Amino acid sequence: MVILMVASFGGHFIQLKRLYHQVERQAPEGQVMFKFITTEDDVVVDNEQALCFTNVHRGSGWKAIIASLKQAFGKLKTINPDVVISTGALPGLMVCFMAKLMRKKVIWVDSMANYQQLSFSGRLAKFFCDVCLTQWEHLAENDKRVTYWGKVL
Amino acid sequence: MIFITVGTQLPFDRLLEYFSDWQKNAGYTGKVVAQVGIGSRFTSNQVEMVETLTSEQYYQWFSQAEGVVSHAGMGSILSCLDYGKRGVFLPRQYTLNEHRNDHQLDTATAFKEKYPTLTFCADKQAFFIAMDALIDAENNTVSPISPQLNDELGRNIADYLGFKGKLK
Repeated sequence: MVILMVASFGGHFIQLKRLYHQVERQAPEGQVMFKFITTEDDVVVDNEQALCFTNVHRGSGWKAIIASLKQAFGKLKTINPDVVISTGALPGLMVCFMAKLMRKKVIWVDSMANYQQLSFSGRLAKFFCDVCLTQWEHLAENDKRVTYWGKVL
Repeated sequence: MIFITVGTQLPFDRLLEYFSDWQKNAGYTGKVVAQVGIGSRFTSNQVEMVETLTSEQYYQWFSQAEGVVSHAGMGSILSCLDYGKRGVFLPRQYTLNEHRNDHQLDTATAFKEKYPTLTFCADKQAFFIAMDALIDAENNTVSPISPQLNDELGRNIADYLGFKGKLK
């Protein structure tokens, strides 16, 4: 099984690395391969070089969003993962959306920063991801599309 | 050494100005290194400044620091816990054009008083008080919080993906 983990560089990626360590510890030896995408060059996780993805945010405009989806398509073709997991933000959402169109299994883990409501990306992710997770119990209580399975902390 | 960080996305000059005012006020003469973000207009000859840092540089300063001063970003919060550092946090505010929304105020609410080593400040006065306390506590060591302690999330994802069965 190939698991692709995607997050913007910074706090999102710090959460992704913690999540990776949690998931990796559960993986049966030699049967799960992890790949990474972030928005910075030369990032290495456990000797695995992360692929670099262009950063986009809400103010980037439609052209950048479309270019980002195209880039996501290219990366997904190359990596060919079975599962995509993202901790955000918008670049992660782009990869998750394209991955879903390509019929991959997709898990969104909303950032721990979002304590009162899901992030902008998370509020979109919950409509198409296989699992949309919040890291705060109370945010999963009144939304059947959102689940709480634990935290990266 | 105090390490100041404003995160990867946007500058946060209000934090740097508060710090600079406190530094003058308190007569703090220790080394200060600040990651100020691209587009910052903050100037000071009492603070060593860099716009951005690689992961390695970030952790290098982080592990050397006696105290961390930061925006209320998850990366800084988690790194303080990982590295056993005291942290003083000022949330970015949407109304002051410091971020795209007010999620950092929410993060501050979530983490406020959860860890005795992390202080979240609502205003300049609270920031000054927190900085004085940070300096007073400089020589008391903090134990890092191991991320290995909790893996509920990892186990749930592993179950969902069927790690226990046969994988392709």
